[in-house]
Amino acid sequence: MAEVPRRGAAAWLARLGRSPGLIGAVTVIALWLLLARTGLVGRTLLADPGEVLRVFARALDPAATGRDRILVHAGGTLGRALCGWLLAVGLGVLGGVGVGARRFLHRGSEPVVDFARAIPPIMVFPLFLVAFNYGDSAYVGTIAFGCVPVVMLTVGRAMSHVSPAKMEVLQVFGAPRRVRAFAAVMEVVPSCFLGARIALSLSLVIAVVTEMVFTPRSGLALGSLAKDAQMSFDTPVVYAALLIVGVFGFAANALMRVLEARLGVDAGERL
Amino acid sequence: MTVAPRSESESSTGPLVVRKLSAWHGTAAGRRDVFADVSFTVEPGEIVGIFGPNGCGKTTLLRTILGLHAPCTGDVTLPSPGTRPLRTAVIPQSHRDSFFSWASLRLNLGLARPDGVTPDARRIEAARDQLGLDLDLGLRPAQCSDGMLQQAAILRALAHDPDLLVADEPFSALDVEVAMRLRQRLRDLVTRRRMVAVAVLHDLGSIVHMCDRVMVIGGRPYSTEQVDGCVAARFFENRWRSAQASPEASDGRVDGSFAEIMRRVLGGAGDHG
Repeated sequence: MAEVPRRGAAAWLARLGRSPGLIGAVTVIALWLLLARTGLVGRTLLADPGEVLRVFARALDPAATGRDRILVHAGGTLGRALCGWLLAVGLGVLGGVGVGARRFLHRGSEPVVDFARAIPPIMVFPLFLVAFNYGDSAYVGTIAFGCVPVVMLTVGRAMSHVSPAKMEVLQVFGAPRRVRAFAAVMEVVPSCFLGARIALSLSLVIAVVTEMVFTPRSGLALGSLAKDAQMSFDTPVVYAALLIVGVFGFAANALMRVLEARLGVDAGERL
Repeated sequence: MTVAPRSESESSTGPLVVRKLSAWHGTAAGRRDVFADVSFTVEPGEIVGIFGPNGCGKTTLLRTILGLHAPCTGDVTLPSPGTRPLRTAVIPQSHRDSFFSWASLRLNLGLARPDGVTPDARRIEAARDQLGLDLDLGLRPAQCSDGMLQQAAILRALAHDPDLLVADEPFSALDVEVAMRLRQRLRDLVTRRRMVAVAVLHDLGSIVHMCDRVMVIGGRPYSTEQVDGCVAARFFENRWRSAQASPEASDGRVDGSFAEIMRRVLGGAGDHG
């Protein structure tokens, strides 16, 4: 029997039923509206969604100044986070592959990496500030410091666990060393993606936190903006900053998943 | 262990010679012997089957011959194909774990080559025709059943055109019809191409129909003895017949020589089958 096409509210409900993620998002927004509009939670604690939307509307104005330039501030933060993340992924993958390829090196480095992973990046941030003369490199370095151990640990462990059976088969068939190395690296690609995805959200967290501690020279920083807005009870701007960070994290993660799917990598199943 | 250098003989591949080969697991302090003083020779065009109970060291013996198991003593002289390098192929026991999941079967076959990654389409097609395999090489390992992967492992080995073929339970995941066809084709190819072949086999059909000789390995302390393939075939055939006639009496008395070797080497495990 042919399915009768649904219209209006029924069509919306049917679409919602097919995407549980959308149900979650709609539920949160509805709850937010309810709590804000009924006054159950004060305006200093919970901004009205309409006011937050107005912050974004003002940000789209080219002549915007001060806190209204929230998107420009977001650009500064995201730039620093991306630079730190790229540096961390590069160093982490290289280090992980290099260390994981040799059992002795892997065993020797794992305690050091675990030790570094336990140190909150914010504790070394003042050192980076001094070392890099309070420039943007201090932020990028701190982000990399926090993310490299995560990527390195993930990739190094995967590299050290590359199936000996597969490599032995290549060895018996006389495959050259470069082919065996290529095959081993391809084996750890899913772990590279996994490490990169974990590091991506971490890089954003470190970028915002470091900006909250010390405002960059350019003054363009979402963390600093959110902290200033919080101090002056400008709650809509705080919520707008929260939304930007959340949306970017979500979008970047989704992009990584798409990339994994395109490349046929199954890292998604591991996280 | 010493591996003798290959001779420069152009005409013949030469035999695989194993002399007084012993292997163990663990270190010198906590050493556990796997097998001791194994000696045998496999001539070109010949298949020697290795037969014995689980855990007796059959796979370790193959790995030692291939130079993959380090703690060992004795000599292994590999076949000598003349001026060109020796081509060795393996059909591993854990065939699923021998394929890279990120690559198609075709690329997996291409990786297992001494001269680059690009699969040699001509050789693969020739081997596929010779084996009579209908296998989609565009599939990834995750899309294949165990049987398909085992067929791919056999194809990978034969497409390599090896001088030395080492197979560890090569038909364990195949259905009866495919297994029968492949062991016949494999037998023909080994004879025609004058390969040196060693195969661990558990199914008696393969031992009877494929092997020129059978090496029984097992017992404690580990020991080995060799028996002619025809004797083994007669033994298993007689045993099958006697089992059909009287299941209670199927104890291997029907053929003296092989049954006696089985009892002597396996220490009571002669009722295999």
